[in-house]
Amino acid sequence: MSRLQLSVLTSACAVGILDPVASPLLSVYGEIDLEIASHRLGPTGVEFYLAMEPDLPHLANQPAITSGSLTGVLPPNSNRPVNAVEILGAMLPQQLERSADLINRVIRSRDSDRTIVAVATFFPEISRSNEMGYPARQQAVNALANSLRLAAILNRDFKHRIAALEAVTGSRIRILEKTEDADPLSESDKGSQHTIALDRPEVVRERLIGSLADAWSQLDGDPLKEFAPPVALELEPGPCFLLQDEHSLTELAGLLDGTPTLNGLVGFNLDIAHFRIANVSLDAVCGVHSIRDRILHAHVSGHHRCAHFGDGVIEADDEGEIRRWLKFLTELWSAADRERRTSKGLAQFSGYVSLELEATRCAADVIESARRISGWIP
Amino acid sequence: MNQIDVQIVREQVGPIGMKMADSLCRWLAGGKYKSVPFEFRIAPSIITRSECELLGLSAPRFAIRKYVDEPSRSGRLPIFFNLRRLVWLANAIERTHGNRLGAPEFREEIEQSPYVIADSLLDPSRFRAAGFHVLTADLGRHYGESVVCERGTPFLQHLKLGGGMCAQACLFMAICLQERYANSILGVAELTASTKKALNDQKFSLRGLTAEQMVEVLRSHRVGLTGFLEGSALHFANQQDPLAIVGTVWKAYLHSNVPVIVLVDLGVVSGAKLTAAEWTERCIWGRNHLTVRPDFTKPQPAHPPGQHAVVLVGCSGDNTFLFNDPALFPFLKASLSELNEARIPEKPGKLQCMQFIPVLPAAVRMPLLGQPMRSPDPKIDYSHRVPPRGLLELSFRFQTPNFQTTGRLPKAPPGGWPGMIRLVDSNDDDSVTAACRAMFLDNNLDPDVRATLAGRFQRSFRQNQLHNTGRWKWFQGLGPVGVDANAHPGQIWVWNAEFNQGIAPVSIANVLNMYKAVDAVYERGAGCFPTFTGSP
Repeated sequence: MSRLQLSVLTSACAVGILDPVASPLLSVYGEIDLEIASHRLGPTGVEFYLAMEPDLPHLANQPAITSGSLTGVLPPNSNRPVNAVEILGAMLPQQLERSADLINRVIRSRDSDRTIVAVATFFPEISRSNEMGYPARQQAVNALANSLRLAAILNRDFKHRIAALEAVTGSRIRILEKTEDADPLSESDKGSQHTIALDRPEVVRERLIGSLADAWSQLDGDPLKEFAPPVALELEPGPCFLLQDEHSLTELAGLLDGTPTLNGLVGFNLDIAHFRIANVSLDAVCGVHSIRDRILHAHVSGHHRCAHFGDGVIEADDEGEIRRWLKFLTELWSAADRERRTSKGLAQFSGYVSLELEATRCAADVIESARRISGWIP
Repeated sequence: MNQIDVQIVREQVGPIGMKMADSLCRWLAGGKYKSVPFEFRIAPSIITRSECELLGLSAPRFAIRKYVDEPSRSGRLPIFFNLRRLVWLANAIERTHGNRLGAPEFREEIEQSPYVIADSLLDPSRFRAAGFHVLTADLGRHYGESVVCERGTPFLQHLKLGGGMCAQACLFMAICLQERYANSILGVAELTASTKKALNDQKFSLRGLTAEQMVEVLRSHRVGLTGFLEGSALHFANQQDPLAIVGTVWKAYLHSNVPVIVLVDLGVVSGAKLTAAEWTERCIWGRNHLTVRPDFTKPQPAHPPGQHAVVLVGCSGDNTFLFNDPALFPFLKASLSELNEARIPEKPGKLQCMQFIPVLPAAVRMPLLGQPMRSPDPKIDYSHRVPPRGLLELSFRFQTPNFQTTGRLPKAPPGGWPGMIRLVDSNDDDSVTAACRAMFLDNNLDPDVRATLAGRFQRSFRQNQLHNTGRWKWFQGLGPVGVDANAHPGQIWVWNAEFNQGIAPVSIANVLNMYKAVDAVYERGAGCFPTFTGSP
């Protein structure tokens, strides 16, 4: 059985890492290597977060978006709002190649052997209804397809080992609109109101599957397809999210079982914190092959028992519970599991668990968490 | 690692939001500053992420976290708060939803909004030093900020989208304060979507929740707590001062670390209709010595005053309360009578008393006052209560001489009803210890003697097997503390807070039959021996 390895998500640095002068995270990988060497773990892998807003103009080879193009009011060179699906969805092949080159150069700027092992995205529009009146869903499909191409170029041309592309599944919110006050919940503020309509989960699930199929179909006939990693869908705790708990996980796994065209192309990202907050038990994941065999990658972070305030430092108190999950992830590398996946035409587990401390307070928190978790990896 | 320049913050938050953040800093610092240096960083926020989800946006899900340095302390204040990127949010909404939401008015509403504080954690030392008991939650490390603030009081301002969502904001703060017992802590979107109506209709309005819906959300499996809509109407004790009883009840809850959501009239609290001269004297916001009147409290026809919710987070011995107002600031002070004056205005079919919701662990089935029955007709007396009846109603029947008891319970000492009340988590030694000490609070008592008596009572409590039948107990201290064997001590009643009253119809006979809710009665002092023990 191979050993589970540690990787770190670049989203720890929310100010972006593609600006060469603003990449305080990059030195952290080397420091973690030193910390975890005593646990006989290999060099720390990189999980590259593709949708960090300050990085997007660099990816699109647009170092400065002109004033008014997106915000209408903000001056150039500010930390302006940009939309990930708009930018990534519109990228041309040449831009993708230049972006892959840029990412490779930045990631290997301190260590020529540093390897990207996974890519993370955030395109919640992927399952959105077209009723929103904005072509966000199609843009999200395009963005996902381009993300797959980008990852494939990094694998093919730069010898990275990207084994999973993590993606969220979006929410059940179908439409948000202004309506006249037909049924006021409040006894005051009569007049117009903003109403949110939810879609039934099965409708959104079908839409998601359609989007995933559309994204992959864009790579049909493209030589990059064989280098593209499978998509690992992430559960997010909360009643409006599509993939939010054990039930929705089971339902989506069942739907994937019934969609053989996506075999080997779509699976799950096991975010230990999210699973624990959502009360998804390890037993439920372990014992259900349609879920277990689709786990492609994993995230780990510290967290509150029942809330997602953010990614916290991994604490010693979590040792027992997190060790159990890590042991399970290690078992995904077993010969029996690998053979079963092969026979079903499913993709293999990445072999990495990524430390996710999104927009963390300081580098020391990342290093401290890495030191702690590395001692728990079986 | 994620620090950002103040210029970027200004661009993304906007001038009105920055002004509000600055005002809040001054408020938290006690108005001692001329200028407050800031430090900002990008940070996750459970609230902004939830709002993005609600609005169908992928960004800005991160907030801007603000720290505050206090030069006189040569260090950082133990507070931090997440700012909404209001300008960015307005841009993103406009770009995503276009005119569907009523732009440009909607855009202006967001961009010009003073409600910039998403979630935050605030150290209440300043208010504790002033004699307040203040509720806090151990959330600093979960925000990755244990270095700045280990424990603090949560606060947020609600996002105003057409209608206010103060109820959701209060629920969030209260649930955070009960984080040890909640099944999950939800953001605004999830709280709104958790009402039965939303689940049934598969749609919901971005507005506040009614009091009943707040209770419903608290009791949902997802949140895993409970709440009771209680009112100040006291049909069972007409000769008592209802307001004084409410004060006792609120203090009992707060000293038991139970937050209380109070329904008030925003117009009265904020003084929306008052002139500048009247404002500082005649409304709660004005009387809190804000250095300037916030612009948004001035009369705004488009924002009529109405039902509003605040959450009580602290109290002092003199019936002054601290509350977090999601429409303004945390730690606002108000007396009991001020809050009573701000109660929801009388309307046909509605209760004409102060209404509030204690936010309790799910297993607690006996509140302190109980739920008043709502009458659809204002001419009909509403002074009955629907189950569950409160501890005070039962104790009034059992402990005051006006009523016959069943004869099974000991006679209570005269005077001082309802005494000192605390909710106790018998699984938590700290909770038991604190409540035992509270039962012997007496200014004339030597601290060592008090500690001895409290320890003695704690041993008696722990040795009584009957108390193992449930986790949650109410302690009620009545009468004097007896220091030695020759004294005539008062009593400590231990009530089963999980007592199931069923749905028996309203009658005194049924109430009297509820003596089974009393686990035991102990001497309040001397040997702390049990003088009554119920049957398991």
